Amino acid sequence: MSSSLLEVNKLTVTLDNGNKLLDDVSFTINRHSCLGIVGESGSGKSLTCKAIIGLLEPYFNVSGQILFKPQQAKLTLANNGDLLQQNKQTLKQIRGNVISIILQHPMSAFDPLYCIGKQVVETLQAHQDINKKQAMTKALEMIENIGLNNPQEIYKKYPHQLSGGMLQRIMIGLALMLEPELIIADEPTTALDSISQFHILKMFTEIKQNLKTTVIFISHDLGVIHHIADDIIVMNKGKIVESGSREQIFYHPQHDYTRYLIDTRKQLLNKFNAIIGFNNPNLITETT
Amino acid sequence: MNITKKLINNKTALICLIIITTIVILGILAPYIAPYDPNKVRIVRKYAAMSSQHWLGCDHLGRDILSRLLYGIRSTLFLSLLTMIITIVVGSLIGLISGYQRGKLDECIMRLCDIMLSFPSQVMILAIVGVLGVGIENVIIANIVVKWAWYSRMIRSSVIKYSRKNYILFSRAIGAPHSFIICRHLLPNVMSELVILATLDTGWVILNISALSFIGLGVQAPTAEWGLMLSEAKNVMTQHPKQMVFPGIAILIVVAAFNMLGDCLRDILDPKDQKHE
Amino acid sequence: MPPLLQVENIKKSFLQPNQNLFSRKKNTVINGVSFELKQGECLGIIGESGSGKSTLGKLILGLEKPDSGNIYFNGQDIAKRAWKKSAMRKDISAVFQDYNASVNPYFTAAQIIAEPIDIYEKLAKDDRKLRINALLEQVGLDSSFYNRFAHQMSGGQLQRVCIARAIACSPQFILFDEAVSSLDISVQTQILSLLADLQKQLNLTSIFITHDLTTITYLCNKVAFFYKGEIIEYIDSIDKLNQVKNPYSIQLLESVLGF
Repeated sequence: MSSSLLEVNKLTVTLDNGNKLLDDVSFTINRHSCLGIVGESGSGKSLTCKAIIGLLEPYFNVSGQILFKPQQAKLTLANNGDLLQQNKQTLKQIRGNVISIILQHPMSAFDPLYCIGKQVVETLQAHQDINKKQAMTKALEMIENIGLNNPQEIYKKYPHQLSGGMLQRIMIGLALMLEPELIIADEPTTALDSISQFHILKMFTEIKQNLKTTVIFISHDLGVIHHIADDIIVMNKGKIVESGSREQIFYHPQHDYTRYLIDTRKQLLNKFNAIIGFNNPNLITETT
Repeated sequence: MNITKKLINNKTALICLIIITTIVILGILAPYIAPYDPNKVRIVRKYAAMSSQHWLGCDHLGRDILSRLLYGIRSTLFLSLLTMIITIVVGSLIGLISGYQRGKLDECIMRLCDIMLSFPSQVMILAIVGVLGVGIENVIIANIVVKWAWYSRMIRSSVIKYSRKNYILFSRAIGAPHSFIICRHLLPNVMSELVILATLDTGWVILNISALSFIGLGVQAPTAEWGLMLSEAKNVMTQHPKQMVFPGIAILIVVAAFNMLGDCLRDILDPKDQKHE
Repeated sequence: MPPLLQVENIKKSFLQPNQNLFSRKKNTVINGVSFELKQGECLGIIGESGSGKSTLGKLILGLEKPDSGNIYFNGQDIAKRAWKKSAMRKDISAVFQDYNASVNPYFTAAQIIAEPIDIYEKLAKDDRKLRINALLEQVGLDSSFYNRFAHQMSGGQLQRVCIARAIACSPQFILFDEAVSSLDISVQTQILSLLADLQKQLNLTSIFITHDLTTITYLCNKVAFFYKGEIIEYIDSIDKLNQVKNPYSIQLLESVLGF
C-alpha cells in the first residue's frame, strides 16, 4: 500500500523583509515509509518540519499547501486537510495524537522538576482517555520495551540523572505510545555520542518494521540517513536540490551538491574503512 | 556595534535619553538661564502666583520656584549620579576580585555581602546617617555602604559565568596575563549588564536622596534640592499646592525616565534579541 | 628523544554539588591516567559524554590542578610556578568544541586571532596585519574576514578562525576538544583535512578528544579508549585499531555508521 500521507505543495516561507527561507518546497510522503531530509545547517530542513506542524512564529509568512490525509476517522480536517488552514484547536489535537515530533536536545524536552515517570503518565493522560493506574503500567511497559533495564528505577529518576541517549529513547518511546500516524524526528541523534546514536537508529529501524508508522527523519549526516530512510530529499539554502529513493541518491546522485555531501562523508570514512577492513557489518562496500 | 542604532530606533529609549540629556544640560547651565538667584528671599513676593516674571510662582519665602528647580538639578541629579558612579566602581572592583580570584577571599567577601544584604536598606541608611551626622556627604556615604554589595554580587556572578566561557579558557591556557583577560574579555561583557542595573538604580538613588532631604537628613536649607523643596512645601500643602506640585513632577519625570531607559536598555542589550536579525 | 608530553598517573575528583555545608563527598572524574606523546604524534582520546575526557583536556592545559600525579611538557612540570610564568606556555594551544562560546562576541576575527600574538610577540602594526592575513589564508579564509564579528560568520568559518588563533604563535602542541563535533559532516571533513595539512606543515603534536571514531582515524596515529575516568585500552598504532579487545572499544567500533 503506498497511498500518500502527507503532500507538501510549493511551501514557501518568507520573512517580512522579503528574505526567502524556504523556496517552493514540494514533496510527498507515502504511508509507512521513512523520508530522510539531508542538508547543512541553515538549509531549511527544521523550518520545513516546523511549518508542517504549525509551530512557526507569527513573523514568518507561510504560503503553499500541506495536505495531510490521516486515517483516523474522528479527526475532521477542513479545506481538504491543508494543515496551513486549520484552526488552533484542530492543530492542537493533531500534535501529539496524530503527528509527534522528536527534537535534537532530549534534555530540554523534559521538565527538570518532575521525575520521568510522572511526565510520561501526564502526557499519556492528556492525550488518551485512561486512568492513572493504566497509564503507569503502560509507562513501565514502554520503558522496558525501549531496552532500558530496571523500569521501576528509571520511572522514579529525574531527567538530569539519566544520560542524553536514555532520555532520547524515552522521548521516542513516549512519542510511539501515542500511536501517531507521522513521527517527525528533527536531528534526534546529533547531540548524542556514537553508541547512543547507534541504539536510537536501531530503535527507529524496528519502529519502521514493526509498527508501520510514517517517519520524517532530519539529519545533516548522510551516514545516519543511509541507515534509516527509504526516500531522501537533499536540501540546500531553502530549496530541494534533489530527491529520490535511497539507491538513486547514494549511488546515482545527479546534483553537484548531493555529490559534494556524499564525497565529504566518504572522505571521512575512507581511512576508517581502510584500517578496519570490510568486516564491519554496518559498512556497505563502495559503489561508484 | 549597532547598539547606538538600536537605541535610536527604540522610541521610548530615545525619548528618555532626550529628557535626561535636556535635564542634565539645564542643570549645567543653571547659573546662566535661571531668571533669579535661587536663594534670594523676598518676602513681598511670598506665594506669588504664576506670572510672566515668575513662570512657576514663588515659594513661602518669595524665592522663584523655577530658579530653585533648575539649581535643584545640580544637587539632586548630579549628587545621585556621583553616588552611582562611586557605588559602581567600588562594587565592581570588589566583585571582580571576588569572582576572578575565587577561593577563601571570595568566601569572605561574599559572607560580608550577605551581611550587608540582610539589613533593610532604608533602615541601614538612617542608622548610618544617624551615626555620622546630618549632611549630604554622609547621605552619599550611607548610600554607597548600602548599595555596593548588590553590585559586587552581580558582578561576581557574571564574572564567574564568563570565566567558564571557552575564550577565557583559551586565554588562560596560553598564559595570557590577568590584566588582558580582565580588560579585554571580562569588562566589556560585564559592562552591558552593569549599565542596565545602574540605570534602573539611578532612579532609586534620586528618590532616596530626595527622601532623606525631605525628612531633613540630607541637603540642608537653604540649598535648592527637590526633596527639600517638597519638605518646605508640605506645611502649606492645602493652601498653596503648586509649591509642592512642581518639584514633585520634576522628581517623577527624572525617575520615570531613568527607569524606562533601564527597561529599554535591557531589551536592546539582550543577546537573544540580536540573533533574530 | 624525550617525550614532548608526559602524563603520569593523574587523578582528579570534584566536590559533589548540592551537599550541606560540612560534608565533603567527592566524585572521581579522572582515575590514574598515564601516557606519553612524542613530537609529531597525534593521540585520539575517545569516550562518551561524561567519561571525563574534557576534564583530562583541562588538566593538560593547566586549567585545573590534578589531585595527584604530574604532567610534564618538554620535561617541565606544568604545575610549577616557573612554568606558569615562562614564555614556553605559548607552545601549548587549544581549540574547543562550542565555537560560539570560543570567541569573545565583541571581537572581530582579526582581534581574535591576534590575541596570542599580542601577548607573546609585540609586532608593529603593519607586521601584525600581514601576519593575521597570512593566518587567515592558512586556514582557508581570505582577508575579507578581517573585520567580521563572530555573529557574521558561519560555524565552520568561526572554527577556522579559532584554529588560526591556535596556530598563531606556532605552538608545538595543540589540544582539540571535540573541535568538529558540532559542525555539519561536510564542514567536518573540510576542517579535518585542513587540520591534517596543518599537522604536516607545522609538525604539530596534538591530542584530539572526541566521541566519534571516524574523526580519530582521519587524523590520529594513536588511540586511547576512555571510559569512566580511565584509559581502558591504548593503541599505539592506528593500524591495529581492528585488533581491540575491550568490549567497550568493540562496541564503539561497531557503532560507526558507514555506507
